[in-house]
Amino acid sequence: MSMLISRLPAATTPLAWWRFARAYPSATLGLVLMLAVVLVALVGPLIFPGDPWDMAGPPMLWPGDDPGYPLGTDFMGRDLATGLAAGARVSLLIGLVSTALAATLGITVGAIGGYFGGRVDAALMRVTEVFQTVPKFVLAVVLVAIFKPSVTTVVVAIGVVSWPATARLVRAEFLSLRSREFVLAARTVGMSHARLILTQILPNALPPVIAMATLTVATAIQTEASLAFLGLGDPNVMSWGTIIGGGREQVADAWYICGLPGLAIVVTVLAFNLIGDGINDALNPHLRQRRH
Amino acid sequence: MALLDIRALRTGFTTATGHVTALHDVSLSIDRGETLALVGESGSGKSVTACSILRLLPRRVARVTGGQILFNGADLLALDDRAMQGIRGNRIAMIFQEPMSALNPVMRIGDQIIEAVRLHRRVTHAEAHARALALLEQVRMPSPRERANDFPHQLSGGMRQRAMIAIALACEPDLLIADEPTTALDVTTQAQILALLKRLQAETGMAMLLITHDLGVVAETANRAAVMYAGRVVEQGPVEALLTRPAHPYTAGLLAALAIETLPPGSRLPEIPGTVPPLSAMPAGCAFAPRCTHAVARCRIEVPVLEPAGSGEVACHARLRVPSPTVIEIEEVAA
Repeated sequence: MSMLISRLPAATTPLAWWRFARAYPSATLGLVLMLAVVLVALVGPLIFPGDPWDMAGPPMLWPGDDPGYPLGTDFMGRDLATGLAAGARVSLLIGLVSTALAATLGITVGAIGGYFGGRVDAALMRVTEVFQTVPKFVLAVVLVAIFKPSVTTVVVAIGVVSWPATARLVRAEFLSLRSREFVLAARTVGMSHARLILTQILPNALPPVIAMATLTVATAIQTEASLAFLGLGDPNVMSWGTIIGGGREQVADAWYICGLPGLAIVVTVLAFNLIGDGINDALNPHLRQRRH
Repeated sequence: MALLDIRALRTGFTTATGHVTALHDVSLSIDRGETLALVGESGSGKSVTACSILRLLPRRVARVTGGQILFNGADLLALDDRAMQGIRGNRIAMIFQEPMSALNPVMRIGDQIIEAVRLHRRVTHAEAHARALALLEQVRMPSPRERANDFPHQLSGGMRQRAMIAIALACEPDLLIADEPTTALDVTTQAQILALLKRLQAETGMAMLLITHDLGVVAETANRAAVMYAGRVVEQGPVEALLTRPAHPYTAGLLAALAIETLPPGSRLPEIPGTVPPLSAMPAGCAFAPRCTHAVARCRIEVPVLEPAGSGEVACHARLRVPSPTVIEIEEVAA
């Protein structure tokens, strides 16, 4: 972890930032886009206050028609700017929390399987395979449909369908790391299994897991929007997917109702993908430039 | 009572092709403050012996099938896993050949020492930190305060081995197992590390099991030496006697291979013909007999056992009576 951070430039001065941007242009674009989305999520609801579900103005107002509704209104007169700002919060929240859940599950299963090996590993990997063979989105739909849609069930459903890839990755890392000499050396100083896993092997296995987690956030945001589009979002929060779902019948007359939240999803997912790819490149010794 | 007393240790491996025995009734003992060198080629069982003592062999494939390992009179083989964890690093510590791979690459040197201290001592972080710095000073780490904040890849090979030794000494062990501690280092650093180990031993009074294939290292560091071949101790005794009057043809062969400086230029280097037989295809009788120039008929039938010979013990039906002409020069090296 600390090694990963030490590899990134300590971009504290404008010049260092410029060098970083030159070296990793796509990762920089990703960071900028992500900061923009985070900014919208943080201050958007302050600029466009009010309940995104309220019928605030006349329906089907095109963006720019009325300065009071800069991004227009939908067919029920709900303010799209308020909705998009609220949606940014929901998307980021669900994306990050469900990824944290998936990472925790995946790391736990992968670490135990990879470290202990044998029957424990075989059993855990069979379970992982069962999850991998079921189509992810269908499983998420079924889970949310069974346990009433809410932010919590959506987070849990996305987390439950997203962990197998992380588990496989962590297991592979553990398999190669557990036979390394520093792990044996740590055993000779008298460390327990739990301590070996947590303090010796896991920190060495984390960098690729972080790269994968970033990509998982992107997928989770997409999945959340898809669930909300199908009407399986939390009925109390305004998600980008909900707005698209609501506007789909007016696509021909008012494409902006679907288009604007769609664009927001594209930008957010792209941001996380670019950052994830950037971390992957930074970790890949073949692509990494020597900077010592 | 000896600090470590290994009695008839027998360790085997289960492989895809069947069960093989890696150690045949290995018996060794080390007194407090003493250094015992374990000498032998790759595959002779040196490291398996060390791993058997600390019970670090992979459980699925390796098993100790007989014998006792008495440490301070208690059998390590009878301890449960928790008790064994309390021994490792605390009473018995180990250092490795390649310090770069034996140190955690993502942890600072200081933190790795602190962790080793706190595993067995109930001390605050500040106390452990102070102890870590004292240890780095004890192993003569240059600018210990700065090095404590470094990661392993930022240190030189010699400094890494010093860090490794500091971790091993964290809890003042009674026994240090050094598995080829200088093999990966260049010659000058090698001499420094050996001198350091010797000095630390004098300071702390710990015993040392030095695993090596380098007879020069043995001459410089050890009090007694045991020569292993194909999983058996074939000769053991005080270093000086062993190196000047070897009784086993294998020991004599190892020594002859060292005496290259006395050879006329261009002559063929002395070697022991053949290779160590694989564990799965051990000959009947003495395992060294197929390579031995002194072998007699009995050697191919009956496995020789260790018997007293001179100041040591030897397992050979055709002991050498003539003293070997080879003398190893012992050089003193400053720390």
